[in-house]
Amino acid sequence: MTAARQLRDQLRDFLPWWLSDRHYSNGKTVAFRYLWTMVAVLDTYVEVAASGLQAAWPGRGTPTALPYIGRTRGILRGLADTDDEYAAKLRMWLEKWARAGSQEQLAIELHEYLANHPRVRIVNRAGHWVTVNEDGSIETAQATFDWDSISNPERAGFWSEMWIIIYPQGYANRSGTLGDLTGDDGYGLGLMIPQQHTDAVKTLLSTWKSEHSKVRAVIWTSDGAIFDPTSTTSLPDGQWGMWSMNVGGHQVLSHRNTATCRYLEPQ
Amino acid sequence: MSSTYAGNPALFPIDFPIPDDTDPPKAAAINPALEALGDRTANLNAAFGYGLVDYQTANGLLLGVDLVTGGTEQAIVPMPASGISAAVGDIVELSITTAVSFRYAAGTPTRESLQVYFNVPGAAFVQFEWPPVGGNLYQSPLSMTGSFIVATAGPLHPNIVFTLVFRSNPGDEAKADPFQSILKIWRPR
Repeated sequence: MTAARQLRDQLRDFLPWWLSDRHYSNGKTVAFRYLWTMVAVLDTYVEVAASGLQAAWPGRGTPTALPYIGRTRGILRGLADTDDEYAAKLRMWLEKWARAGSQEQLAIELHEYLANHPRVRIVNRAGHWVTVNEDGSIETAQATFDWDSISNPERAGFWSEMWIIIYPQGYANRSGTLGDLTGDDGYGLGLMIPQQHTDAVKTLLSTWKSEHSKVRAVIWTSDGAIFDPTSTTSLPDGQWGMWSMNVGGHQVLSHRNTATCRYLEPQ
Repeated sequence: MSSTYAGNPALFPIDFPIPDDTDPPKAAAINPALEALGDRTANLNAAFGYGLVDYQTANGLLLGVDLVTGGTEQAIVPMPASGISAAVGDIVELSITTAVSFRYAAGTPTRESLQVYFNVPGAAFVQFEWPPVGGNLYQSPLSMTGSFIVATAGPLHPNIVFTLVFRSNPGDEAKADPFQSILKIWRPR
Protein backbone atom coordinates (compact mmCIF):
# COMPACT_ATOMS: atom_id res chain seq x y z
CA MET A 1 0.00 0.00 0.00
CA THR A 2 1.25 3.43 -0.93
CA ALA A 3 -0.97 5.51 1.35
CA ALA A 4 0.47 5.52 4.86
CA ARG A 5 -2.85 5.38 6.65
CA GLN A 6 -6.13 4.44 5.13
CA LEU A 7 -9.59 5.86 5.56
CA ARG A 8 -10.90 2.47 6.63
CA ASP A 9 -8.54 2.48 9.59
CA GLN A 10 -9.65 5.92 10.71
CA LEU A 11 -13.37 5.33 10.28
CA ARG A 12 -13.88 4.31 13.89
CA ASP A 13 -12.55 7.63 15.14
CA PHE A 14 -15.34 9.64 13.52
CA LEU A 15 -18.49 7.61 14.12
CA PRO A 16 -21.19 8.05 16.81
CA TRP A 17 -21.61 5.03 19.02
CA TRP A 18 -24.77 3.83 17.33
CA LEU A 19 -22.95 3.57 13.94
CA SER A 20 -19.72 2.13 15.31
CA ASP A 21 -18.44 -1.42 15.30
CA ARG A 22 -20.14 -2.92 18.39
CA HIS A 23 -19.00 -6.46 17.80
CA TYR A 24 -17.77 -6.90 21.35
CA SER A 25 -20.59 -5.06 23.16
CA ASN A 26 -23.89 -6.08 21.64
CA GLY A 27 -22.86 -7.63 18.27
CA LYS A 28 -24.53 -4.88 16.19
CA THR A 29 -22.17 -4.23 13.24
CA VAL A 30 -24.45 -3.78 10.22
CA ALA A 31 -24.22 0.03 10.08
CA PHE A 32 -20.46 -0.05 10.52
CA ARG A 33 -19.98 -2.63 7.79
CA TYR A 34 -22.19 -0.59 5.47
CA LEU A 35 -20.05 2.52 6.00
CA TRP A 36 -16.80 0.52 5.83
CA THR A 37 -17.71 -0.75 2.35
CA MET A 38 -18.21 2.77 1.06
CA VAL A 39 -14.97 4.01 2.60
CA ALA A 40 -13.09 1.06 1.14
CA VAL A 41 -13.94 2.35 -2.34
CA LEU A 42 -12.58 5.76 -1.40
CA ASP A 43 -9.40 4.07 -0.21
CA THR A 44 -8.95 2.67 -3.72
CA TYR A 45 -9.01 6.15 -5.21
CA VAL A 46 -6.65 7.46 -2.59
CA GLU A 47 -4.26 4.63 -3.39
CA VAL A 48 -4.39 5.39 -7.11
CA ALA A 49 -3.74 9.08 -6.47
CA ALA A 50 -0.86 8.37 -4.10
CA SER A 51 0.71 5.83 -6.49
CA GLY A 52 0.48 8.25 -9.37
CA LEU A 53 2.15 10.95 -7.32
CA GLN A 54 4.96 8.74 -6.08
CA ALA A 55 5.61 7.15 -9.48
CA ALA A 56 7.67 10.21 -10.33
CA TRP A 57 9.94 9.58 -7.34
CA PRO A 58 12.57 6.99 -8.39
CA GLY A 59 13.08 4.44 -5.64
CA ARG A 60 9.81 5.37 -3.92
CA GLY A 61 7.17 4.86 -6.58
CA THR A 62 6.46 1.96 -8.85
CA PRO A 63 9.48 0.64 -10.78
CA THR A 64 7.35 0.43 -13.92
CA ALA A 65 7.78 4.21 -14.20
CA LEU A 66 11.58 4.02 -14.27
CA PRO A 67 11.93 3.73 -18.07
CA TYR A 68 9.85 6.87 -18.55
CA ILE A 69 11.73 8.83 -15.93
CA GLY A 70 15.01 7.65 -17.43
CA ARG A 71 13.95 8.81 -20.85
CA THR A 72 12.97 12.27 -19.67
CA ARG A 73 16.14 12.67 -17.59
CA GLY A 74 18.41 11.28 -20.32
CA ILE A 75 19.77 8.46 -18.19
CA LEU A 76 20.24 5.12 -19.92
CA ARG A 77 19.64 2.01 -17.84
CA GLY A 78 22.73 -0.14 -17.39
CA LEU A 79 22.68 -3.63 -18.82
CA ALA A 80 22.96 -5.15 -15.34
CA ASP A 81 21.11 -2.51 -13.33
CA THR A 82 18.53 -3.67 -10.80
CA ASP A 83 15.50 -1.47 -10.25
CA ASP A 84 17.11 -0.04 -7.10
CA GLU A 85 20.41 0.69 -8.87
CA TYR A 86 18.67 2.37 -11.77
CA ALA A 87 16.47 4.39 -9.41
CA ALA A 88 19.60 5.56 -7.60
CA LYS A 89 21.07 6.74 -10.93
CA LEU A 90 17.88 8.59 -11.72
CA ARG A 91 18.03 10.43 -8.42
CA MET A 92 21.59 11.47 -9.33
CA TRP A 93 20.60 12.89 -12.66
CA LEU A 94 21.39 16.51 -11.94
CA GLU A 95 24.83 15.62 -10.57
CA LYS A 96 25.49 13.57 -13.71
CA TRP A 97 24.42 16.29 -16.08
CA ALA A 98 26.45 18.87 -14.21
CA ARG A 99 29.55 17.00 -15.40
CA ALA A 100 28.31 16.20 -18.88
CA GLY A 101 30.85 16.81 -21.62
CA SER A 102 33.84 15.78 -19.52
CA GLN A 103 36.04 12.77 -20.24
CA GLU A 104 35.40 11.65 -16.67
CA GLN A 105 31.62 11.55 -16.92
CA LEU A 106 31.71 9.82 -20.30
CA ALA A 107 33.97 7.15 -18.84
CA ILE A 108 31.63 6.74 -15.87
CA GLU A 109 28.60 6.33 -18.10
CA LEU A 110 30.29 3.62 -20.18
CA HIS A 111 31.56 1.90 -17.04
CA GLU A 112 28.09 1.88 -15.53
CA TYR A 113 26.26 0.86 -18.69
CA LEU A 114 28.24 -2.24 -19.60
CA ALA A 115 27.22 -5.35 -17.73
CA ASN A 116 30.73 -6.25 -16.57
CA HIS A 117 31.43 -2.67 -15.33
CA PRO A 118 34.83 -2.69 -17.07
CA ARG A 119 37.77 -0.38 -16.62
CA VAL A 120 37.28 2.50 -19.03
CA ARG A 121 40.10 4.79 -20.13
CA ILE A 122 39.68 7.91 -22.18
CA VAL A 123 42.64 9.76 -23.63
CA ASN A 124 42.58 12.80 -25.83
CA ARG A 125 45.11 13.94 -28.41
CA ALA A 126 46.68 16.23 -25.82
CA GLY A 127 47.57 13.16 -23.75
CA HIS A 128 45.18 13.72 -20.86
CA TRP A 129 44.08 10.37 -19.50
CA VAL A 130 41.06 9.58 -17.33
CA THR A 131 40.58 6.08 -16.01
CA VAL A 132 37.49 4.69 -14.29
CA ASN A 133 38.56 1.43 -12.71
CA GLU A 134 36.40 -1.64 -12.34
CA ASP A 135 35.69 -0.71 -8.72
CA GLY A 136 34.54 2.75 -9.80
CA SER A 137 37.60 4.65 -8.59
CA ILE A 138 38.91 7.38 -10.86
CA GLU A 139 42.49 8.14 -11.85
CA THR A 140 44.00 10.74 -14.13
CA ALA A 141 47.36 10.91 -15.87
CA GLN A 142 49.25 12.96 -18.42
CA ALA A 143 51.20 11.00 -21.04
CA THR A 144 51.76 11.47 -24.76
CA PHE A 145 49.40 9.45 -26.90
CA ASP A 146 50.57 9.13 -30.51
CA TRP A 147 47.91 7.40 -32.54
CA ASP A 148 48.64 8.58 -36.06
CA SER A 149 51.45 11.14 -36.36
CA ILE A 150 53.20 8.97 -38.97
CA SER A 151 50.27 7.34 -40.73
CA ASN A 152 48.10 10.46 -40.80
CA PRO A 153 50.18 13.56 -40.15
CA GLU A 154 47.37 15.70 -41.52
CA ARG A 155 45.48 15.03 -38.29
CA ALA A 156 48.09 16.70 -36.08
CA GLY A 157 45.78 19.64 -35.51
CA PHE A 158 42.71 17.57 -34.66
CA TRP A 159 42.95 18.57 -31.02
CA SER A 160 39.39 17.63 -30.14
CA GLU A 161 39.77 13.90 -30.83
CA MET A 162 39.81 11.26 -28.15
CA TRP A 163 40.03 7.51 -27.79
CA ILE A 164 38.20 5.20 -25.43
CA ILE A 165 39.66 1.93 -24.22
CA ILE A 166 37.46 -0.67 -22.55
CA TYR A 167 38.94 -3.60 -20.71
CA PRO A 168 38.12 -6.36 -20.39
CA GLN A 169 35.94 -6.31 -23.44
CA GLY A 170 33.10 -8.38 -21.98
CA TYR A 171 32.21 -9.91 -25.32
CA ALA A 172 33.89 -12.76 -27.15
CA ASN A 173 35.85 -12.25 -30.34
CA ARG A 174 34.06 -13.69 -33.32
CA SER A 175 35.56 -17.05 -34.12
CA GLY A 176 35.94 -18.80 -37.45
CA THR A 177 36.70 -17.14 -40.76
CA LEU A 178 35.06 -14.75 -43.18
CA GLY A 179 33.79 -17.78 -45.05
CA ASP A 180 31.75 -18.79 -42.02
CA LEU A 181 29.70 -15.60 -42.11
CA THR A 182 26.15 -16.12 -43.31
CA GLY A 183 23.86 -13.16 -43.23
CA ASP A 184 23.40 -10.77 -40.34
CA ASP A 185 23.20 -12.53 -36.98
CA GLY A 186 22.79 -9.28 -35.06
CA TYR A 187 26.35 -9.12 -33.75
CA GLY A 188 29.37 -7.05 -34.69
CA LEU A 189 31.91 -8.26 -37.21
CA GLY A 190 34.95 -8.71 -35.01
CA LEU A 191 33.24 -8.74 -31.63
CA MET A 192 30.17 -10.68 -30.60
CA ILE A 193 28.50 -7.57 -29.25
CA PRO A 194 24.75 -7.34 -29.92
CA GLN A 195 23.70 -4.55 -32.20
CA GLN A 196 21.54 -2.94 -29.52
CA HIS A 197 24.52 -2.74 -27.16
CA THR A 198 26.57 -1.07 -29.89
CA ASP A 199 23.76 1.36 -30.51
CA ALA A 200 23.52 2.11 -26.79
CA VAL A 201 27.26 2.78 -26.57
CA LYS A 202 27.03 5.12 -29.55
CA THR A 203 24.11 6.85 -27.87
CA LEU A 204 26.15 7.29 -24.69
CA LEU A 205 29.01 8.75 -26.71
CA SER A 206 26.84 11.29 -28.46
CA THR A 207 24.98 12.12 -25.24
CA TRP A 208 27.86 12.56 -22.82
CA LYS A 209 30.82 13.72 -24.88
CA SER A 210 31.20 17.42 -25.39
CA GLU A 211 29.72 18.69 -28.59
CA HIS A 212 33.06 19.80 -30.02
CA SER A 213 34.89 16.55 -29.40
CA LYS A 214 35.13 13.55 -31.68
CA VAL A 215 35.64 9.96 -30.63
CA ARG A 216 38.17 8.55 -33.07
CA ALA A 217 37.83 4.99 -31.83
CA VAL A 218 36.41 2.87 -29.04
CA ILE A 219 38.87 0.05 -28.44
CA TRP A 220 37.70 -3.13 -26.76
CA THR A 221 40.61 -5.18 -25.57
CA SER A 222 41.22 -8.38 -23.70
CA ASP A 223 44.75 -7.27 -22.78
CA GLY A 224 44.70 -5.29 -19.56
CA ALA A 225 48.34 -4.22 -19.92
CA ILE A 226 48.14 -2.20 -23.11
CA PHE A 227 47.28 1.49 -23.39
CA ASP A 228 48.94 2.09 -20.06
CA PRO A 229 49.93 5.77 -19.69
CA THR A 230 52.88 4.76 -17.49
CA SER A 231 54.35 2.40 -20.10
CA THR A 232 55.33 3.91 -23.43
CA THR A 233 55.86 0.49 -25.00
CA SER A 234 52.19 -0.30 -24.44
CA LEU A 235 51.06 2.70 -26.48
CA PRO A 236 50.54 3.20 -30.23
CA ASP A 237 53.57 4.19 -32.29
CA GLY A 238 51.97 6.78 -34.54
CA GLN A 239 51.01 4.27 -37.21
CA TRP A 240 47.56 3.29 -36.01
CA GLY A 241 45.57 5.92 -37.87
CA MET A 242 43.92 3.66 -40.39
CA TRP A 243 43.54 -0.03 -40.90
CA SER A 244 46.27 0.04 -43.52
CA MET A 245 49.00 2.30 -44.77
CA ASN A 246 51.12 2.81 -47.82
CA VAL A 247 54.68 1.54 -47.56
CA GLY A 248 56.77 1.93 -50.68
CA GLY A 249 53.67 2.07 -52.82
CA HIS A 250 52.21 -1.11 -51.36
CA GLN A 251 49.16 -1.10 -49.12
CA VAL A 252 49.89 -3.07 -45.98
CA LEU A 253 48.28 -3.50 -42.59
CA SER A 254 48.93 -0.67 -40.20
CA HIS A 255 50.39 -1.25 -36.75
CA ARG A 256 46.99 -1.53 -35.10
CA ASN A 257 46.72 -4.36 -32.63
CA THR A 258 44.19 -6.70 -34.20
CA ALA A 259 45.07 -9.68 -32.02
CA THR A 260 43.70 -8.53 -28.67
CA CYS A 261 41.77 -5.42 -29.70
CA ARG A 262 38.56 -4.73 -31.52
CA TYR A 263 37.59 -1.28 -32.71
CA LEU A 264 34.40 0.70 -32.91
CA GLU A 265 34.83 3.86 -34.96
CA PRO A 266 31.59 5.67 -34.35
CA GLN A 267 31.78 8.59 -36.77
CA MET B 1 30.13 0.56 -36.55
CA SER B 2 31.42 2.58 -39.42
CA SER B 3 33.71 5.50 -39.96
CA THR B 4 34.23 7.92 -42.79
CA TYR B 5 37.32 7.88 -44.96
CA ALA B 6 37.97 10.54 -47.56
CA GLY B 7 40.95 8.86 -49.23
CA ASN B 8 44.45 10.23 -49.56
CA PRO B 9 44.98 11.83 -52.98
CA ALA B 10 48.76 11.73 -52.52
CA LEU B 11 48.85 7.94 -52.72
CA PHE B 12 48.21 5.45 -55.48
CA PRO B 13 48.93 1.99 -54.05
CA ILE B 14 50.62 -0.37 -56.48
CA ASP B 15 48.88 -3.31 -54.86
CA PHE B 16 46.82 -4.10 -51.81
CA PRO B 17 45.56 -7.18 -49.97
CA ILE B 18 42.06 -8.45 -50.58
CA PRO B 19 40.44 -10.90 -48.21
CA ASP B 20 39.29 -14.42 -48.89
CA ASP B 21 37.19 -16.86 -46.95
CA THR B 22 40.07 -18.04 -44.82
CA ASP B 23 40.72 -14.64 -43.26
CA PRO B 24 39.52 -13.96 -39.73
CA PRO B 25 36.19 -12.14 -39.50
CA LYS B 26 37.29 -8.69 -38.47
CA ALA B 27 37.59 -5.28 -40.03
CA ALA B 28 41.37 -5.56 -40.39
CA ALA B 29 40.82 -8.26 -42.99
CA ILE B 30 38.50 -6.15 -45.09
CA ASN B 31 39.34 -2.48 -44.72
CA PRO B 32 42.88 -2.29 -46.20
CA ALA B 33 41.50 -2.95 -49.67
CA LEU B 34 38.73 -0.40 -49.21
CA GLU B 35 41.21 2.19 -47.99
CA ALA B 36 43.55 1.46 -50.90
CA LEU B 37 40.72 1.92 -53.37
CA GLY B 38 39.70 5.11 -51.59
CA ASP B 39 43.25 6.42 -51.99
CA ARG B 40 43.30 5.49 -55.65
CA THR B 41 39.95 7.17 -56.28
CA ALA B 42 41.07 10.33 -54.51
CA ASN B 43 44.31 10.24 -56.47
CA LEU B 44 42.49 9.95 -59.79
CA ASN B 45 40.11 12.68 -58.80
CA ALA B 46 42.95 15.01 -57.96
CA ALA B 47 44.88 14.10 -61.09
CA PHE B 48 41.96 14.85 -63.35
CA GLY B 49 41.87 18.43 -62.13
CA TYR B 50 38.64 19.58 -63.69
CA GLY B 51 35.23 18.03 -63.69
CA LEU B 52 32.53 18.52 -66.30
CA VAL B 53 29.67 20.34 -64.60
CA ASP B 54 27.42 21.19 -67.53
CA TYR B 55 27.21 20.99 -71.27
CA GLN B 56 24.97 22.01 -74.12
CA THR B 57 24.75 20.70 -77.64
CA ALA B 58 23.33 22.39 -80.69
CA ASN B 59 22.93 21.69 -84.34
CA GLY B 60 22.58 24.34 -86.98
CA LEU B 61 22.38 24.91 -90.68
CA LEU B 62 24.60 27.43 -92.27
CA LEU B 63 23.40 28.70 -95.55
CA GLY B 64 25.78 29.14 -98.36
CA VAL B 65 26.77 32.65 -99.19
CA ASP B 66 27.80 33.86 -102.57
CA LEU B 67 30.45 36.41 -102.11
CA VAL B 68 29.59 38.62 -104.94
CA THR B 69 31.48 41.54 -103.56
CA GLY B 70 34.79 41.91 -101.92
CA GLY B 71 35.04 42.09 -98.18
CA THR B 72 33.25 39.87 -95.72
CA GLU B 73 30.03 37.95 -95.51
CA GLN B 74 28.61 36.60 -92.29
CA ALA B 75 26.35 33.74 -91.28
CA ILE B 76 25.14 33.97 -87.69
CA VAL B 77 23.59 31.07 -85.84
CA PRO B 78 22.46 31.34 -82.23
CA MET B 79 23.13 28.46 -79.89
CA PRO B 80 20.64 28.02 -77.05
CA ALA B 81 22.65 28.13 -73.85
CA SER B 82 19.99 29.18 -71.37
CA GLY B 83 20.33 27.61 -67.94
CA ILE B 84 24.07 27.19 -68.12
CA SER B 85 25.97 29.06 -65.46
CA ALA B 86 29.68 29.36 -64.96
CA ALA B 87 31.74 30.26 -61.92
CA VAL B 88 34.96 32.21 -61.76
CA GLY B 89 37.79 29.90 -62.72
CA ASP B 90 35.64 27.58 -64.80
CA ILE B 91 36.89 26.62 -68.20
CA VAL B 92 34.35 27.05 -70.97
CA GLU B 93 35.12 24.89 -73.92
CA LEU B 94 33.42 25.26 -77.27
CA SER B 95 33.82 22.99 -80.25
CA ILE B 96 32.25 23.04 -83.67
CA THR B 97 32.30 20.51 -86.46
CA THR B 98 31.28 21.32 -90.00
CA ALA B 99 32.67 21.42 -93.52
CA VAL B 100 33.47 24.45 -95.55
CA SER B 101 33.54 24.81 -99.30
CA PHE B 102 35.20 27.64 -101.04
CA ARG B 103 35.69 28.58 -104.66
CA TYR B 104 37.34 31.65 -105.81
CA ALA B 105 36.62 33.19 -109.14
CA ALA B 106 39.95 34.24 -110.43
CA GLY B 107 43.29 35.49 -109.43
CA THR B 108 45.39 34.48 -106.51
CA PRO B 109 43.51 33.29 -103.42
CA THR B 110 45.03 35.62 -100.93
CA ARG B 111 42.13 36.86 -98.91
CA GLU B 112 39.74 34.03 -98.33
CA SER B 113 39.49 32.82 -94.79
CA LEU B 114 36.91 31.64 -92.34
CA GLN B 115 36.53 32.97 -88.84
CA VAL B 116 34.34 31.51 -86.14
CA TYR B 117 33.72 33.24 -82.90
CA PHE B 118 31.16 33.35 -80.16
CA ASN B 119 30.38 35.96 -77.59
CA VAL B 120 30.12 35.32 -73.86
CA PRO B 121 29.35 38.02 -71.33
CA GLY B 122 32.26 38.79 -69.12
CA ALA B 123 34.84 37.35 -71.44
CA ALA B 124 36.56 38.40 -74.57
CA PHE B 125 35.15 36.71 -77.64
CA VAL B 126 36.93 33.64 -78.78
CA GLN B 127 37.87 33.49 -82.38
CA PHE B 128 39.16 30.81 -84.65
CA GLU B 129 40.53 31.52 -88.03
CA TRP B 130 40.79 29.19 -90.90
CA PRO B 131 43.55 30.44 -93.13
CA PRO B 132 43.68 30.21 -96.94
CA VAL B 133 45.01 26.92 -98.15
CA GLY B 134 45.21 27.56 -101.89
CA GLY B 135 43.47 26.09 -104.91
CA ASN B 136 40.47 27.42 -106.66
CA LEU B 137 37.94 24.92 -105.40
CA TYR B 138 38.21 22.93 -102.28
CA GLN B 139 36.15 21.53 -99.50
CA SER B 140 37.51 20.83 -96.12
CA PRO B 141 36.13 19.33 -92.96
CA LEU B 142 36.41 21.78 -90.15
CA SER B 143 36.66 20.83 -86.50
CA MET B 144 37.72 23.51 -84.08
CA THR B 145 37.86 23.80 -80.34
CA GLY B 146 38.53 26.79 -78.20
CA SER B 147 38.29 27.64 -74.54
CA PHE B 148 38.62 30.41 -72.06
CA ILE B 149 38.66 30.81 -68.30
CA VAL B 150 35.62 32.52 -66.86
CA ALA B 151 36.43 35.77 -65.09
CA THR B 152 32.88 36.77 -64.13
CA ALA B 153 30.44 34.33 -62.59
CA GLY B 154 26.90 34.04 -63.82
CA PRO B 155 24.72 32.53 -66.50
CA LEU B 156 26.09 32.42 -69.98
CA HIS B 157 24.35 34.45 -72.63
CA PRO B 158 21.11 32.76 -73.69
CA ASN B 159 22.32 32.71 -77.22
CA ILE B 160 25.96 32.16 -77.83
CA VAL B 161 26.31 33.37 -81.36
CA PHE B 162 28.46 31.62 -83.85
CA THR B 163 29.53 33.91 -86.55
CA LEU B 164 31.20 32.72 -89.67
CA VAL B 165 32.97 35.43 -91.52
CA PHE B 166 34.23 34.89 -95.02
CA ARG B 167 36.75 37.26 -96.30
CA SER B 168 36.96 37.06 -100.02
CA ASN B 169 37.52 38.58 -103.38
CA PRO B 170 34.56 39.56 -105.57
CA GLY B 171 32.96 36.61 -107.32
CA ASP B 172 34.14 34.02 -104.84
CA GLU B 173 31.68 31.51 -103.42
CA ALA B 174 31.67 30.01 -99.97
CA LYS B 175 29.42 27.61 -98.09
CA ALA B 176 29.40 25.98 -94.71
CA ASP B 177 27.64 22.67 -94.18
CA PRO B 178 25.22 21.97 -91.30
CA PHE B 179 27.26 21.95 -88.16
CA GLN B 180 27.29 20.33 -84.76
CA SER B 181 28.58 22.11 -81.73
CA ILE B 182 28.97 21.44 -78.06
CA LEU B 183 29.61 23.78 -75.18
CA LYS B 184 31.20 22.38 -72.01
CA ILE B 185 31.90 23.92 -68.64
CA TRP B 186 34.75 22.42 -66.63
CA ARG B 187 35.19 23.29 -62.98
CA PRO B 188 38.31 22.84 -60.84
CA ARG B 189 38.00 20.02 -58.32
